[in-house]
Amino acid sequence: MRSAAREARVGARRRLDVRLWIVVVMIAPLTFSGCGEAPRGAPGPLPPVAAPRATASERSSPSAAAAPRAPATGRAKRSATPPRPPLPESFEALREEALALAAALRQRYPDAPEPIDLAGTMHDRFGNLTAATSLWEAWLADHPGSAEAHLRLGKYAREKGEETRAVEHLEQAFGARPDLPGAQILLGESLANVGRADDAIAVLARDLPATAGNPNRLTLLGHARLQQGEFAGAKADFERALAIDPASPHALYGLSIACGRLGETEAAQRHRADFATRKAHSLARDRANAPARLDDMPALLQAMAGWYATAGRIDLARGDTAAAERDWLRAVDFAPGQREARAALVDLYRRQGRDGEGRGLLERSGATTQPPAAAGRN
Amino acid sequence: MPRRLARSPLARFIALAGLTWPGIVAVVVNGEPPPAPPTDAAKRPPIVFEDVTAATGIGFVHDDGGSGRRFIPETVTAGVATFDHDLDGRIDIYFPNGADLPGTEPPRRPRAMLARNRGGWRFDDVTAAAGLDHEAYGVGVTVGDLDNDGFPDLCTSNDGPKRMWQNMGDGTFLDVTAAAGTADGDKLGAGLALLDADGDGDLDLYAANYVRFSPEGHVSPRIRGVPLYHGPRDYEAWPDSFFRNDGDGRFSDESVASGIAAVVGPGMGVVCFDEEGDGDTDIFVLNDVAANFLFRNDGTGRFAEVGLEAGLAYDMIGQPNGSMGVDCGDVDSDGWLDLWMTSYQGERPVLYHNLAGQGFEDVSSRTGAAAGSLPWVKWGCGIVDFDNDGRRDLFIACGHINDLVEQFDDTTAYRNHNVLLRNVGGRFVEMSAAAGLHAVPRHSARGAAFDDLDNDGDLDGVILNAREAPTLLRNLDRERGGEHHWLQVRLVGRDSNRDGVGANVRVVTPGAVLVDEVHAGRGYQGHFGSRLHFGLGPAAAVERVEVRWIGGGREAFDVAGIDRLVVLTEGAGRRVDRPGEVETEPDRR
Repeated sequence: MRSAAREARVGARRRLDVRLWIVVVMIAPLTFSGCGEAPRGAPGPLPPVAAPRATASERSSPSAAAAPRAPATGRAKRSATPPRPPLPESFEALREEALALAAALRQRYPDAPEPIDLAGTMHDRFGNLTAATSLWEAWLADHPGSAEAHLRLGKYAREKGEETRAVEHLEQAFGARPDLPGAQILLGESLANVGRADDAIAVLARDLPATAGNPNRLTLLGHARLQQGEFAGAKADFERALAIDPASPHALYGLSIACGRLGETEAAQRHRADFATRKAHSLARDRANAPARLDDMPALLQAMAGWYATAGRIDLARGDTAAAERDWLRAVDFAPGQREARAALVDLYRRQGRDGEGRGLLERSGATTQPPAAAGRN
Repeated sequence: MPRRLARSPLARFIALAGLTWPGIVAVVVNGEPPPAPPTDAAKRPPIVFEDVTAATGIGFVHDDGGSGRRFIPETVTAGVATFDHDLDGRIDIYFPNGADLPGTEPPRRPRAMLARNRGGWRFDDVTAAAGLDHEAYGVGVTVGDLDNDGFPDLCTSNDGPKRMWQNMGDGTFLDVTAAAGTADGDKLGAGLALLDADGDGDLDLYAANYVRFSPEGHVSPRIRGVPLYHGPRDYEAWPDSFFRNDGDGRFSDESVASGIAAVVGPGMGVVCFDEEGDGDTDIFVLNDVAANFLFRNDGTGRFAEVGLEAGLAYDMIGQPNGSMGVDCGDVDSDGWLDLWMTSYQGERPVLYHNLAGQGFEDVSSRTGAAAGSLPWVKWGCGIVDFDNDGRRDLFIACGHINDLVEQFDDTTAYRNHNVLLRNVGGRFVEMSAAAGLHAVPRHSARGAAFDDLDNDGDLDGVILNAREAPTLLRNLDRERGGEHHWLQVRLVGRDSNRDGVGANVRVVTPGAVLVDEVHAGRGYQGHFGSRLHFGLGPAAAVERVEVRWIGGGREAFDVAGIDRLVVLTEGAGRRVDRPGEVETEPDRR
């Protein structure tokens, strides 16, 4: 059983990194995109950075919950944001800047796992899973039992094809923190991958809500049940997944199989036809996107923007507003449409009484009052 | 090509046909593999290979013809074929090779090689003498007796026109492409397979084609500054081709009329087999990062594509793979032929279990067949019983397409060890290192073929390695005192095609029924196994062999001995109406 992240990993490496764009831009929405793993190099499944408790009014803003409240009176002192360097023009320069960012974060917050996660994500994206693994192993040595470390090490082990080792780590992660985002689904998927479908079912069905739920978890559960020959149960899981996410081709494919194995021929044919139509559209999109696969530098610039946005979030959670602002501004340098950074900056400026700068930021990045919905997605 | 009588030294082998029908034999066939015999497997590996390449004298070195511009044909060359071209009883090897691509300076002029097996693990380069010294850019190859003269002919697919080579029976081959009409334009080809699609007694040609590549305007993509190859989704795919054998040396392009051209995909490996047990031959075609095709034959050579319906288009979760090579064999001893498919890095190889003719299911995870190869790009493959224990094992030849991959991805490598998964009954155990495969220098493998190269009763391996010399793996099962018996079967068709391609063979032992079919084209765009090989496991005798001929009837042959090659000639056995009348068999054959 495989996930969107697997697809993304394949994509990140295939001919011309062919599938990087296929997956990130095209396929990811059609795969187990919510399985807890993110495409290689994207923000990881670690829980949101801990933030000071927000007031009810602050919670009304998506970014407010993570932002320290600005002084209540008087105009906030304008942050001194030094001139920022030009964007790196080569991959080597980009990598150097990225790893410097990660190193700086680790130096500032040596006891926080988030900088390790960000550094690991960068190494992973740069094709250096060994370095990413070493970071988390060192963290684990200092923090025995760390669920975050086991989760990441499990994920990396999977990427290296060390499935049994992956299961060991993920079991530790899930055992220590069942609520750790991604742990349950990754473990369930990994168990199914090593042929332990019964254990996968037990993990994935644990605390499954009676209604709604994560469609990808339900899809994985359905596929695990297929492996076990529990066709009726699988069918129910796939139907629930499709009720939540009607566009899921994996659920649709699983449903067609389950119906076929249950002797529901017409239903199986119908679901197969729907699935085939969606696959054909996906293929057409991939073909049309071939020119974008010629160079991954634009994608790396987007990734850098995302990493700076994450860095800003880490800074803010630790109360370093100035560093957060620097990071978010750098994120916008890399990708003017970077939604998280833009929204965070606008919110920060609003709180600091610097609304003009917020408006200026939006104008410079091509927006007026709302960030464009589709721009800057990475 | 006129039909000629065979004048084969194989006549020294006796076709044990027409002997007394053994009568009702109490055999219980319950689909379970025979129990593993007590062995010292815990102390020593049950399968061990020795790299004997250096001693063979084979000087072949593969060359993809690349100039550094990274054209996609470089990534797919080439398969490999093993067959007895001169009928001397020893299996020879044909290595396709690349050719200089635009921009290659100075010219290197790589050549294919026919390596004649002279025994004792020594081979002679007979390419020029055989008339096979050509400059085509080879990607695929298959073998079959197209003119039913008893001598195996050769078909090659290329980056360019396909070639058909008639075996003249004197050790030479004649390029009969023009007369046959099978050049198929100027396409980048892929896997080839021969089958008697319409049951008329001669072999037709299925030719997969890959993508519409042109070096004009080529721009090599880059990742993190490192140049890459384009993938198949960056190009339009060619439709595959189907040529019907007219029986007079000519072939008719019936790609459209047969239904083959109704769908289009970037084809790779091909294998033909009777997927539903209805007595005709169907075609399974891999497509690279696209849905695979299963062409179901209506018995007349008209096909309907039913891959999605059969569960073969995608993997378990409905994802297309970078499908590469495919082999066919009964891995769970249930009497139905399963499929073993290799795939790209980050994808699991897929073992498709045949649901008794009612479709297939991906059992890779459940059976452990997916273990040990995820990070590698996987190409050649085989469903082969290496230790003659009656259970067919799985082999994968591995190697990345990009020699620079380690610069941007440390989870994989250009050169890899190959992977062996031993069948322990319902599950597979990865034992590549224990079998000696990690002692073999790493290469970037492509095609793989498995045959008994030293006629000792176990199956050896030949691996074509991109840009390097091949690897010859000697299976040491017999040398190490392998405890299991074996039987090899070669068919001689009379009314049906001469080599019995497509025939279904059931070897009945006191404890099991072992099933296989004769293929002409399998693995990664290659060919092997014209002689069927059966490890007999704990059985010390074979009660009979049943053959269902394509376009013909079913016969039973009594076999007096084991640990030998038997030649079964159509018409020399006892005709039977149903398979294994004494067995409890749930299938519909």
